[in-house]
Amino acid sequence: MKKLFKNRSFVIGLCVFSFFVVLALLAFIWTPYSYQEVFEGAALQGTSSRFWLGTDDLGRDLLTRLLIGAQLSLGIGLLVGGISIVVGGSLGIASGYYGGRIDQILVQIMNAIQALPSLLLALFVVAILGGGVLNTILSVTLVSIPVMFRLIRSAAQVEASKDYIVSAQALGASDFRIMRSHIFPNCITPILVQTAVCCSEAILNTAALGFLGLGIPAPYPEWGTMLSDAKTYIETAPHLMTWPGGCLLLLILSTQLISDGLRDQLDPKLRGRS
Amino acid sequence: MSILSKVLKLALSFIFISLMSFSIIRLIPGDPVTHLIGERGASEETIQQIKQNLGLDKSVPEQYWIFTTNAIRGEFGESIVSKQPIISEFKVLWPATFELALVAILWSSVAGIVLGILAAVKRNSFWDYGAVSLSTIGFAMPVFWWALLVIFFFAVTLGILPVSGRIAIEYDVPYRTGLYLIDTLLSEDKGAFLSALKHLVLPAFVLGTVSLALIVRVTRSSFIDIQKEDYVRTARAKGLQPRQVIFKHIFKNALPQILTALGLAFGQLLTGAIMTETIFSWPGLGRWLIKSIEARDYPAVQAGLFYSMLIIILINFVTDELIKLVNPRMRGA
Repeated sequence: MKKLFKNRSFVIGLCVFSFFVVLALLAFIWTPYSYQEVFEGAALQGTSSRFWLGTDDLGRDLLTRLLIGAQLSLGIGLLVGGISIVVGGSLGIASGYYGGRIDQILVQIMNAIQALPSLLLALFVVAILGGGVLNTILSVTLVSIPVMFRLIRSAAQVEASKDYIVSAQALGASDFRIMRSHIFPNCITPILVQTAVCCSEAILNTAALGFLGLGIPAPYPEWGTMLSDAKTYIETAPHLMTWPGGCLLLLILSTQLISDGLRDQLDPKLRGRS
Repeated sequence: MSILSKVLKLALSFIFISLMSFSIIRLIPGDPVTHLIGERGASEETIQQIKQNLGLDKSVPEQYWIFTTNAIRGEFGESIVSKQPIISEFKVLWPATFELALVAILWSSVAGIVLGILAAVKRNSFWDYGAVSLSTIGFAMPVFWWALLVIFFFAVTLGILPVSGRIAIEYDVPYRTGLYLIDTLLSEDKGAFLSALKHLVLPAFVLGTVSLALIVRVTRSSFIDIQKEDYVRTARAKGLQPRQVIFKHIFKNALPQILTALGLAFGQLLTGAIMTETIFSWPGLGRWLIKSIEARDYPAVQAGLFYSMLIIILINFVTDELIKLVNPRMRGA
């Protein structure tokens, strides 16, 4: 654990990520204005003492909207990561442990889901179900589960073939017990790494759906949706584009650095490869 | 693996994608017919008429059979929005996407492989750090923001390159291949060629950077791995030129991994094309797909799903075969 905090990319990633978490939490207590509050005659303003980061095309405070956007992105990222652990992780462990027919059926289902690139699949899910907050989260989660499943399954497979599992079985431990207290703790490394990956994928896909106008609907200030609005004003008010985009890049970058660092430190075999 | 089992595998994939795109319309909550009619409603007769036109009055297996046989012939019915047969829309849009993707994958694979090799050979140098930071940032970069930045820099600030469409409006290119770069060259219209080229630069640059990060990373890490192998040491020890070692020994062995990455990059390119085409108003399949989804044009969405899965399965198949071709060790698999 101590070594982990000496890993440069992990520490940088964690710092940036925590910064966004603090901002998002802060926004629950305090924001300069309300994210829906429209100031008449103050549209498309630059930085000023009244609006720290300026205003958008309708005259809403950009800083406020960025902060609420951080809540949305982080919330969705963590939620999707969490659901993926629970669903993808437990299916993966079961699939790796039992093997046989259950394993094959699950692998086929996951392969089918993964036949399309993640954003394309999310798009089709939204196309079928329609937009909205819940459907966006649902589609982003659906594409993230197979990613988690695959990695955990192969880790569980390796673990399940080891001798101590056989001895646990010989001692009469139930399958559930073996999976919970033997396989799961030994798969924690790939699970942690993969959670960070799923989280960053989820944030990116949500923003991409928002940018295409098919994600989180207005008036929620989702960063992707904000970027899509900013496109029109790229010549007159480029700050509308730089702030949400920069935040998005930093947040995704930080989750990726965290997952890279975790992988480097926790999995010695991969150390020094990238 | 015999040819028979390959054919069988492709046939199974085909059945799978036809099932998926067949069920998509039937997964929509509620009745598809009411969706088609819209808010205004219609008489019972019209509803029956529409059902008959869509073939919804038949049994499900029968519907599936009709859908699949039509799909093989490339017929997905008419688009609800444009009232045109979908296949004829495809014929116009497909070359645009193909041209964009081809230029993007060409420049990014050449640049990515060169940069990856440079980084691996000159480890811990300026090139290495440059390549690593480039691929790290490239992986995290949302392509739509990248496109906006590029537009802002090249088009708004410098004002040198166009940012929408495939060619300036005054040129009229006779349709031959549908690829404007080739069509304009064939018609020997210099101005039109330059215009087409200028319009292509920014979208292709943005789209290519999506795959660049992946290709750089894979090339670099596989090169670093292979450099440690005994046969590379032997090759160096017997006095081969560094260039010979790099190209004859390391590159040949890294090629399967690079090809796998290229196959993956093509999949990414498909998603990237949706973004890039939407932002640059490039009249291709990606933008059409988004428009169809927005308009709830279900036959079009169905066809889009079918074709994108078909393309991905074909790309996977081709990359698998290519890898076997360059890597004798994989041939038995």
